[in-house]
Amino acid sequence: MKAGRVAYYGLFAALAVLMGYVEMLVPVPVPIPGVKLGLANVVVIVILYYMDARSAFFISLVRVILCGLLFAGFAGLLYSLSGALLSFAAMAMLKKTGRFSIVGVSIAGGIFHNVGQIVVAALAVENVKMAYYLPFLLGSGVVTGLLIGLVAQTALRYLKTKP
Amino acid sequence: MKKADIFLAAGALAVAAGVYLFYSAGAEAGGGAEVTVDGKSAAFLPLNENDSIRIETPQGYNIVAVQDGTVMVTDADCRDQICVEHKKISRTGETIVCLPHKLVVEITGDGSAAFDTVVGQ
Repeated sequence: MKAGRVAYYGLFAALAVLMGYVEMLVPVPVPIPGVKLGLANVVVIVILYYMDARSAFFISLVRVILCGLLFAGFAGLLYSLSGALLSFAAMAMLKKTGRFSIVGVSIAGGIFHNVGQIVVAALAVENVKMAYYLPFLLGSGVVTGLLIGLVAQTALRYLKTKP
Repeated sequence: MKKADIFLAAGALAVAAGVYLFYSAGAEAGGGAEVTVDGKSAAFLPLNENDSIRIETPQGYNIVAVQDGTVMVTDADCRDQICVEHKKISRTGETIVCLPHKLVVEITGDGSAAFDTVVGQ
Protein backbone atom coordinates (compact mmCIF):
# COMPACT_ATOMS: atom_id res chain seq x y z
CA MET A 1 0.00 0.00 0.00
CA LYS A 2 1.37 3.37 -0.96
CA ALA A 3 1.78 6.05 1.67
CA GLY A 4 -0.44 8.37 -0.31
CA ARG A 5 -3.32 5.93 -0.16
CA VAL A 6 -2.86 5.48 3.57
CA ALA A 7 -3.07 9.23 4.01
CA TYR A 8 -6.25 9.38 1.93
CA TYR A 9 -7.81 6.52 3.92
CA GLY A 10 -7.14 8.31 7.19
CA LEU A 11 -8.43 11.59 5.88
CA PHE A 12 -11.60 10.12 4.41
CA ALA A 13 -12.31 7.96 7.47
CA ALA A 14 -11.97 10.99 9.75
CA LEU A 15 -14.19 13.02 7.46
CA ALA A 16 -16.83 10.29 7.40
CA VAL A 17 -16.89 10.03 11.20
CA LEU A 18 -17.14 13.81 11.42
CA MET A 19 -20.08 13.81 9.01
CA GLY A 20 -21.77 11.23 11.21
CA TYR A 21 -21.29 13.54 14.18
CA VAL A 22 -22.57 16.62 12.37
CA GLU A 23 -25.57 14.60 11.29
CA MET A 24 -26.40 13.88 14.94
CA LEU A 25 -26.40 17.59 15.72
CA VAL A 26 -28.94 18.29 13.00
CA PRO A 27 -32.36 17.19 14.19
CA VAL A 28 -34.49 15.55 11.51
CA PRO A 29 -37.89 17.23 11.49
CA VAL A 30 -39.74 13.99 10.66
CA PRO A 31 -40.57 11.70 13.58
CA ILE A 32 -40.10 8.48 11.66
CA PRO A 33 -37.56 5.93 12.81
CA GLY A 34 -34.71 5.58 10.33
CA VAL A 35 -35.03 8.85 8.44
CA LYS A 36 -31.60 10.42 8.12
CA LEU A 37 -29.86 12.91 5.92
CA GLY A 38 -27.01 10.49 5.22
CA LEU A 39 -24.23 13.07 5.19
CA ALA A 40 -21.56 10.42 5.67
CA ASN A 41 -22.64 8.89 2.40
CA VAL A 42 -21.14 11.91 0.62
CA VAL A 43 -17.74 10.64 1.67
CA VAL A 44 -18.49 7.02 0.74
CA ILE A 45 -19.66 8.05 -2.74
CA VAL A 46 -16.70 10.34 -3.27
CA ILE A 47 -14.32 7.48 -2.44
CA LEU A 48 -16.30 5.11 -4.64
CA TYR A 49 -15.65 7.40 -7.60
CA TYR A 50 -12.32 8.95 -6.61
CA MET A 51 -10.65 5.71 -5.52
CA ASP A 52 -12.39 2.33 -5.83
CA ALA A 53 -15.16 0.14 -4.42
CA ARG A 54 -12.86 -1.73 -2.06
CA SER A 55 -11.64 1.45 -0.40
CA ALA A 56 -15.18 2.82 -0.17
CA PHE A 57 -16.32 -0.40 1.48
CA PHE A 58 -13.64 -0.32 4.15
CA ILE A 59 -14.06 3.37 4.92
CA SER A 60 -17.80 2.83 5.20
CA LEU A 61 -17.24 -0.07 7.60
CA VAL A 62 -14.75 1.87 9.71
CA ARG A 63 -17.12 4.81 9.89
CA VAL A 64 -20.12 2.74 10.97
CA ILE A 65 -18.15 0.97 13.68
CA LEU A 66 -16.53 4.16 15.01
CA CYS A 67 -19.71 6.23 14.88
CA GLY A 68 -21.72 3.40 16.37
CA LEU A 69 -19.37 2.90 19.29
CA LEU A 70 -18.85 6.62 19.87
CA PHE A 71 -22.37 7.96 19.54
CA ALA A 72 -25.05 5.33 19.24
CA GLY A 73 -24.28 2.26 21.32
CA PHE A 74 -24.50 -1.34 20.24
CA ALA A 75 -28.14 -1.46 19.12
CA GLY A 76 -27.67 1.65 17.00
CA LEU A 77 -24.59 0.04 15.53
CA LEU A 78 -26.64 -2.90 14.24
CA TYR A 79 -29.13 -0.63 12.49
CA SER A 80 -26.54 1.51 10.82
CA LEU A 81 -24.41 -1.49 9.88
CA SER A 82 -27.28 -3.19 8.05
CA GLY A 83 -28.21 0.09 6.40
CA ALA A 84 -24.64 0.85 5.38
CA LEU A 85 -23.89 -2.62 4.00
CA LEU A 86 -27.07 -2.86 1.94
CA SER A 87 -26.67 0.69 0.69
CA PHE A 88 -23.05 0.06 -0.25
CA ALA A 89 -23.90 -3.14 -2.13
CA ALA A 90 -26.60 -1.34 -4.10
CA MET A 91 -24.35 1.60 -4.95
CA ALA A 92 -21.38 -0.54 -6.01
CA MET A 93 -23.59 -2.68 -8.26
CA LEU A 94 -25.35 0.27 -9.87
CA LYS A 95 -22.06 2.02 -10.50
CA LYS A 96 -20.69 -1.13 -12.14
CA THR A 97 -23.54 -1.29 -14.65
CA GLY A 98 -22.45 2.12 -15.94
CA ARG A 99 -26.02 3.09 -16.73
CA PHE A 100 -26.50 5.35 -13.76
CA SER A 101 -24.96 8.70 -12.95
CA ILE A 102 -23.49 9.49 -9.56
CA VAL A 103 -26.85 10.95 -8.54
CA GLY A 104 -28.67 7.72 -9.42
CA VAL A 105 -26.10 5.71 -7.50
CA SER A 106 -26.63 7.98 -4.51
CA ILE A 107 -30.42 7.65 -4.73
CA ALA A 108 -30.08 3.87 -4.68
CA GLY A 109 -27.81 4.24 -1.66
CA GLY A 110 -30.41 6.33 0.15
CA ILE A 111 -33.23 3.93 -0.64
CA PHE A 112 -31.37 0.79 0.35
CA HIS A 113 -29.96 2.35 3.48
CA ASN A 114 -33.49 2.95 4.69
CA VAL A 115 -34.75 -0.45 3.57
CA GLY A 116 -31.88 -2.13 5.42
CA GLN A 117 -32.67 -0.23 8.58
CA ILE A 118 -36.35 -1.02 8.48
CA VAL A 119 -35.67 -4.74 7.99
CA VAL A 120 -33.43 -4.87 11.05
CA ALA A 121 -35.91 -2.73 12.98
CA ALA A 122 -38.74 -5.12 12.10
CA LEU A 123 -36.60 -8.02 13.30
CA ALA A 124 -35.72 -6.14 16.49
CA VAL A 125 -39.28 -5.35 17.53
CA GLU A 126 -40.41 -8.70 16.08
CA ASN A 127 -43.19 -6.96 14.27
CA VAL A 128 -43.61 -6.85 10.49
CA LYS A 129 -45.89 -3.86 10.98
CA MET A 130 -42.79 -1.73 10.53
CA ALA A 131 -43.65 -1.98 6.84
CA TYR A 132 -46.12 0.81 7.57
CA TYR A 133 -43.14 3.16 7.50
CA LEU A 134 -41.83 1.85 4.18
CA PRO A 135 -43.45 4.50 1.93
CA PHE A 136 -42.01 7.31 4.05
CA LEU A 137 -38.58 5.73 4.14
CA LEU A 138 -38.56 5.13 0.38
CA GLY A 139 -39.61 8.70 -0.27
CA SER A 140 -37.04 10.17 2.08
CA GLY A 141 -34.39 7.85 0.60
CA VAL A 142 -35.02 9.28 -2.87
CA VAL A 143 -34.95 12.89 -1.67
CA THR A 144 -31.87 12.61 0.56
CA GLY A 145 -30.11 10.41 -2.02
CA LEU A 146 -30.68 13.07 -4.66
CA LEU A 147 -29.28 15.85 -2.45
CA ILE A 148 -26.31 13.79 -1.27
CA GLY A 149 -25.56 12.76 -4.86
CA LEU A 150 -25.48 16.37 -6.01
CA VAL A 151 -23.16 17.31 -3.15
CA ALA A 152 -20.82 14.39 -3.95
CA GLN A 153 -20.84 15.32 -7.64
CA THR A 154 -19.80 18.88 -6.79
CA ALA A 155 -17.14 17.70 -4.33
CA LEU A 156 -15.63 15.38 -6.95
CA ARG A 157 -15.29 18.19 -9.44
CA TYR A 158 -12.93 19.98 -7.06
CA LEU A 159 -11.05 16.81 -6.11
CA LYS A 160 -10.27 16.05 -9.76
CA THR A 161 -8.91 19.46 -10.58
CA LYS A 162 -6.94 20.04 -7.37
CA PRO A 163 -5.16 16.83 -6.47
CA MET B 1 -28.62 12.74 -14.35
CA LYS B 2 -29.24 9.91 -16.75
CA LYS B 3 -32.47 8.29 -17.86
CA ALA B 4 -31.83 5.29 -15.60
CA ASP B 5 -31.59 7.65 -12.59
CA ILE B 6 -35.05 9.02 -13.27
CA PHE B 7 -36.48 5.51 -13.68
CA LEU B 8 -34.95 4.45 -10.40
CA ALA B 9 -36.33 7.43 -8.48
CA ALA B 10 -39.73 7.17 -10.13
CA GLY B 11 -39.86 3.42 -9.47
CA ALA B 12 -39.10 3.86 -5.78
CA LEU B 13 -41.70 6.61 -5.45
CA ALA B 14 -44.26 4.46 -7.26
CA VAL B 15 -43.66 1.59 -4.84
CA ALA B 16 -43.95 4.02 -1.94
CA ALA B 17 -47.22 5.39 -3.27
CA GLY B 18 -48.52 1.86 -3.86
CA VAL B 19 -47.76 0.69 -0.33
CA TYR B 20 -49.18 3.88 1.11
CA LEU B 21 -52.42 3.53 -0.86
CA PHE B 22 -52.64 -0.13 0.12
CA TYR B 23 -52.44 0.83 3.78
CA SER B 24 -54.77 3.78 3.65
CA ALA B 25 -57.35 1.98 1.50
CA GLY B 26 -57.70 -0.75 4.11
CA ALA B 27 -57.69 1.70 7.00
CA GLU B 28 -60.81 2.45 8.96
CA ALA B 29 -61.47 4.03 12.32
CA GLY B 30 -59.77 1.77 14.83
CA GLY B 31 -61.30 0.14 17.88
CA GLY B 32 -58.27 -0.10 20.10
CA ALA B 33 -54.54 0.22 20.45
CA GLU B 34 -52.46 -2.87 20.96
CA VAL B 35 -49.10 -2.37 22.60
CA THR B 36 -46.36 -4.94 22.10
CA VAL B 37 -42.90 -5.01 23.60
CA ASP B 38 -40.30 -7.17 21.89
CA GLY B 39 -43.05 -8.88 19.90
CA LYS B 40 -45.13 -9.80 22.97
CA SER B 41 -48.46 -8.22 23.84
CA ALA B 42 -48.12 -5.81 26.73
CA ALA B 43 -51.42 -3.95 26.82
CA PHE B 44 -54.61 -3.16 24.95
CA LEU B 45 -56.35 0.20 25.17
CA PRO B 46 -59.87 0.67 23.80
CA LEU B 47 -60.15 3.91 21.86
CA ASN B 48 -63.55 4.86 23.23
CA GLU B 49 -62.32 5.77 26.69
CA ASN B 50 -59.63 8.23 27.66
CA ASP B 51 -56.89 6.46 29.51
CA SER B 52 -53.17 6.51 30.00
CA ILE B 53 -50.89 3.68 31.00
CA ARG B 54 -47.24 3.37 31.82
CA ILE B 55 -45.48 0.51 30.06
CA GLU B 56 -42.26 -0.69 31.61
CA THR B 57 -39.88 -2.26 29.12
CA PRO B 58 -36.50 -3.74 29.97
CA GLN B 59 -34.94 -0.61 28.45
CA GLY B 60 -37.19 2.03 30.02
CA TYR B 61 -40.75 3.29 30.18
CA ASN B 62 -43.29 4.66 27.71
CA ILE B 63 -46.56 6.31 28.64
CA VAL B 64 -49.27 5.51 26.11
CA ALA B 65 -52.41 7.62 26.23
CA VAL B 66 -55.80 7.48 24.57
CA GLN B 67 -57.47 10.85 24.15
CA ASP B 68 -60.70 11.42 22.26
CA GLY B 69 -60.24 8.36 20.08
CA THR B 70 -56.59 8.97 19.20
CA VAL B 71 -53.49 7.35 20.62
CA MET B 72 -50.13 8.88 21.38
CA VAL B 73 -47.04 8.33 23.43
CA THR B 74 -46.98 11.23 25.86
CA ASP B 75 -43.71 10.47 27.58
CA ALA B 76 -40.79 8.07 27.38
CA ASP B 77 -37.21 7.93 28.56
CA CYS B 78 -35.85 6.65 25.26
CA ARG B 79 -32.93 8.33 23.58
CA ASP B 80 -34.41 9.46 20.29
CA GLN B 81 -37.91 10.56 21.49
CA ILE B 82 -39.29 9.66 18.07
CA CYS B 83 -42.28 7.94 19.68
CA VAL B 84 -43.14 11.04 21.72
CA GLU B 85 -42.93 13.36 18.72
CA HIS B 86 -44.92 10.98 16.53
CA LYS B 87 -48.29 12.25 15.38
CA LYS B 88 -51.42 10.89 17.02
CA ILE B 89 -52.78 7.72 15.43
CA SER B 90 -56.35 6.51 15.20
CA ARG B 91 -56.88 4.42 12.04
CA THR B 92 -56.28 0.71 11.69
CA GLY B 93 -52.78 -0.23 10.67
CA GLU B 94 -51.21 3.00 11.91
CA THR B 95 -48.32 2.43 14.27
CA ILE B 96 -46.02 4.26 16.61
CA VAL B 97 -42.69 2.55 17.10
CA CYS B 98 -40.19 3.16 19.87
CA LEU B 99 -37.17 1.36 18.51
CA PRO B 100 -34.89 1.78 21.53
CA HIS B 101 -37.51 0.11 23.74
CA LYS B 102 -38.70 -2.35 21.07
CA LEU B 103 -42.21 -1.08 21.71
CA VAL B 104 -44.90 -0.95 19.04
CA VAL B 105 -48.32 0.67 19.40
CA GLU B 106 -50.69 -0.44 16.68
CA ILE B 107 -54.28 0.48 15.99
CA THR B 108 -56.44 -2.60 15.52
CA GLY B 109 -60.12 -3.20 14.84
CA ASP B 110 -62.50 -3.61 17.74
CA GLY B 111 -59.98 -5.71 19.62
CA SER B 112 -62.63 -8.15 20.75
CA ALA B 113 -60.53 -11.10 19.70
CA ALA B 114 -57.36 -9.79 21.27
CA PHE B 115 -58.08 -9.28 24.95
CA ASP B 116 -60.79 -9.46 27.54
CA THR B 117 -58.70 -7.98 30.29
CA VAL B 118 -55.18 -6.66 30.41
CA VAL B 119 -52.79 -8.50 32.64
CA GLY B 120 -50.05 -6.23 33.96
CA GLN B 121 -46.40 -6.71 33.07
